Amino acid sequence: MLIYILKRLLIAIPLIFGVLTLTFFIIRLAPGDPAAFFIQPGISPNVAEQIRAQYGLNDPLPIQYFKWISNVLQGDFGRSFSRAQQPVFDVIAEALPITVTIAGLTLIANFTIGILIGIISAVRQNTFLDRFLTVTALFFYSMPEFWFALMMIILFALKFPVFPVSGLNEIGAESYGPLGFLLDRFWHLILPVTVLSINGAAGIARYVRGSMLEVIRQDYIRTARAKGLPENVVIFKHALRNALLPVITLMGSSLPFIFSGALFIEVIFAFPGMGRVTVDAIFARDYPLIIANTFISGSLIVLGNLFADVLYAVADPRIKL
Amino acid sequence: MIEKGACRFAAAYRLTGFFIAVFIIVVLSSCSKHDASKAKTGKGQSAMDSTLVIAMLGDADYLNPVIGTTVTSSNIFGLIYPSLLQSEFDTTTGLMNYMALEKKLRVLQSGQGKKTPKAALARTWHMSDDNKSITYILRHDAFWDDGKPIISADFKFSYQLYGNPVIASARQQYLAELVGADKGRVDFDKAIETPDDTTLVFRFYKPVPEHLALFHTSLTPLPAHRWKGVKPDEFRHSPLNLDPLGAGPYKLRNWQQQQEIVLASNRKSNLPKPGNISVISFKVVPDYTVRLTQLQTSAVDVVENIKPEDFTALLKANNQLEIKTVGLRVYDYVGWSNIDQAEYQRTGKFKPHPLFGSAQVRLALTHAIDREAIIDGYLKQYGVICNTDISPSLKWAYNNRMVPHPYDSAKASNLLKADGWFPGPDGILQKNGKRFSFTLYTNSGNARRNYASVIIQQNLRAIGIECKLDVQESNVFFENLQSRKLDAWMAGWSIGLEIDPLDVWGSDLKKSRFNFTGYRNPRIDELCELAKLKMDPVGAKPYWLEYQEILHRDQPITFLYWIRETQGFSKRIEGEDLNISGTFYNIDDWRLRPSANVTQ
Repeated sequence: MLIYILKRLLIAIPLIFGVLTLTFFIIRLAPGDPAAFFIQPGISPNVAEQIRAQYGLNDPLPIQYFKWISNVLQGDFGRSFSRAQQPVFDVIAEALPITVTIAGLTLIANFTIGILIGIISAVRQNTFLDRFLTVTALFFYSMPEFWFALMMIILFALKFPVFPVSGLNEIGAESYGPLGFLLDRFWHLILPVTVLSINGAAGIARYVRGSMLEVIRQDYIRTARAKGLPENVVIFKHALRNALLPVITLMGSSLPFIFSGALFIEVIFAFPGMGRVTVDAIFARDYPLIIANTFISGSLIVLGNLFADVLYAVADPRIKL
Repeated sequence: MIEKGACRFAAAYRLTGFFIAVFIIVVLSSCSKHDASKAKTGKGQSAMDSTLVIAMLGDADYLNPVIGTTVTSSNIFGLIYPSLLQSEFDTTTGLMNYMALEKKLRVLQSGQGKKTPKAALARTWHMSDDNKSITYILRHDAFWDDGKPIISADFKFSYQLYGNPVIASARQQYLAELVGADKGRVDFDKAIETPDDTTLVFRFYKPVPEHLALFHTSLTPLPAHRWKGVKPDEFRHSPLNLDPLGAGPYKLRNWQQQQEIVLASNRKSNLPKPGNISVISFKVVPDYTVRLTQLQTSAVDVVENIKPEDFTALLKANNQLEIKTVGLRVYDYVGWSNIDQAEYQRTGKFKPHPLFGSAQVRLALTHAIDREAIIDGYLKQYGVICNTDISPSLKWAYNNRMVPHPYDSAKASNLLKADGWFPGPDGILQKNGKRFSFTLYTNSGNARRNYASVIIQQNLRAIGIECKLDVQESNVFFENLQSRKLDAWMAGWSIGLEIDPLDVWGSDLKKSRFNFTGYRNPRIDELCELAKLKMDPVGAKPYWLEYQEILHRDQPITFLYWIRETQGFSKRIEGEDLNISGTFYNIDDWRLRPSANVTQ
């Protein structure tokens, strides 16, 4: 298996470089100018030129590319154009903990709630409970996240002011002490995590239900029941383990989401996470930051797929890598 | 039995593991932010009582006056750094006034001019008789926050930074009249002299009107002793940018990028005094609906640019709020290509645009557009019909004899008929076989322009003009505009407080970079140049009156409406004085009423 992983990692290197090279050229082909902000009345026409010179944008494209690639090979992805010329990985390092927190909590909630609902629906197939859960899940699954988030804000921040609307902490929360600060942070995360996880859990529930239904019709489940095992053990130990195999693929493909962030939620709840960094960078034509973000999400998609394949082999001895 | 017990144990174990995972994630995230920035305010409500919270669309770029370019940045560094002069907008005349401790450019009528000059670093100034140099005498009692005195050398040092091409300051235009600038490079040794710590002399290569000299020589200084070791190519990413050393009424307490900038009243400041409100928090809230919700729930105190359609619901939901407006500084327009842009791009020659080349046709288009309907439907009392780009707020120069071209589709049709446009078989006007059909472009994300463009489309259809609408991403739109790819577009300008329209209307299209229409009228060039030569701006009034009449007649673009920007304010704020120079221009004088005392 180790050799398989190494092989896949080695193949990933040229793949990621290919993606970065493509991104490098595509973003430069897109209309728009990183120095466009400096082209306005009252600002000397020299400024945009000087800024372009600073960013190295006056060189011909092949030279820009070779300069860039030699820097990247030394691990230097450059400085952001739009964020006070911070090194791009500093910008990302600031945004990442926030995104990882939200996404981590969301994934935990997603899978816990999703799997639970899926199991109940499957075990109580065709009962009122199953139909109710299926309809509810579909209802939430088909709801756009940004709209749902705004509805939650109207309900829980305006009509019944229970939760805060935005930001990570209250004004002056630093004076609450570490525990108070932590609880305040938790309080601020409830609405966004709920919005994200209800939507995601609904999808997972559908997967789990389908796969559970398939598994509980298998002979070994009948055998398990026939030998007198309690229903709990049959469902959770014998059926669920097998039913979770397709869910593992989902877990692998969720990895990029943890790091790339959920744009709408970040904009609506004013969290400065990766989603906002990426989209702001695109609108500002902040080339180094766009490429660094592509690097991170590209690497994570490759790693996520590899992770899912490995997990698959671990969970199912029939699969050999 | 044993199996059941083991199962339960395993379940409890998993559950504990789950909660530990959640806990670790939250702790990790808060560790990164619960840093050295210890607040000194009390808890909960009391923290809010001494804190003013302003919601912003985006973060500041730099809190450094040399390179900070966004409005948010200048609002904030204006509170941190000291300034040579104090300026205020005189609402009775529309002229800018500049003040040193012992001298004012203009003496205002009684009751006008609430701003005191106490924060000015200059005691007085003297303009030379030939208007080619200005000498400031600085005060002795001004100090940076580290205790070092603020001296004339700080200004010379800072102007060298502003003028350094490697630093690429967006304010280098302010140095355009200094000695040497006419030859391409300011000669700082001759242009700025500092004979002693409190004398500062600026020299110009040509006579400069006093008000412009004051405007251009009062750029914010940086402390030379702090910045002198920083190399120009490292200036933009120097860590000192995150720790500004100022002398103004506020100092930076904490900056969590893309989240919040917290300023605390600077107890040491005598320029003019420590800010009244102890803490001001500028919070980044990118989504408009959420900013509105936060204002409604009193989580923030000020939200700028509230859409008129939201006023009623907002004020009904929270009677602690009020809507305030600033002067007329922003207008929207429909741009018509006066020249055939493709021909100009190809050959550099000027040929009238096949549709919009004639002033008569452009006038017809203005008559065809129901500007009042747009104002009534969207801006309501916060919009005013726009005739030219000189704002009614600039009363000294505004031509109030001009009558707006009224909405009159019959007159529009007649004008078009006179120009040779007649209805074709499909009902669309035609001239020499060419249909009057075009695409009106605008940038995305602007509800007001979307609303206006639909009305314009209907209005034009009514007189037989086919107008297709296209919304483009802002970057793309701006690039297309600059590269002269658009025939008709809707956009807007925010005007400067000093009138200088040559960039937009000058006949030399290479120099006048923002003359996207290609309008060329030598008399306009002449009037702008004549106005610049006047040493007293009011003396240029006749030129500006004529300028407006020409634009009104030629209609190079259809001026739509001036917009009164509307800001949502919590009633707990007192002492605010909004005018065209900005929402926050006297923020250091604002006070907060404790929440319990706000009148219901």
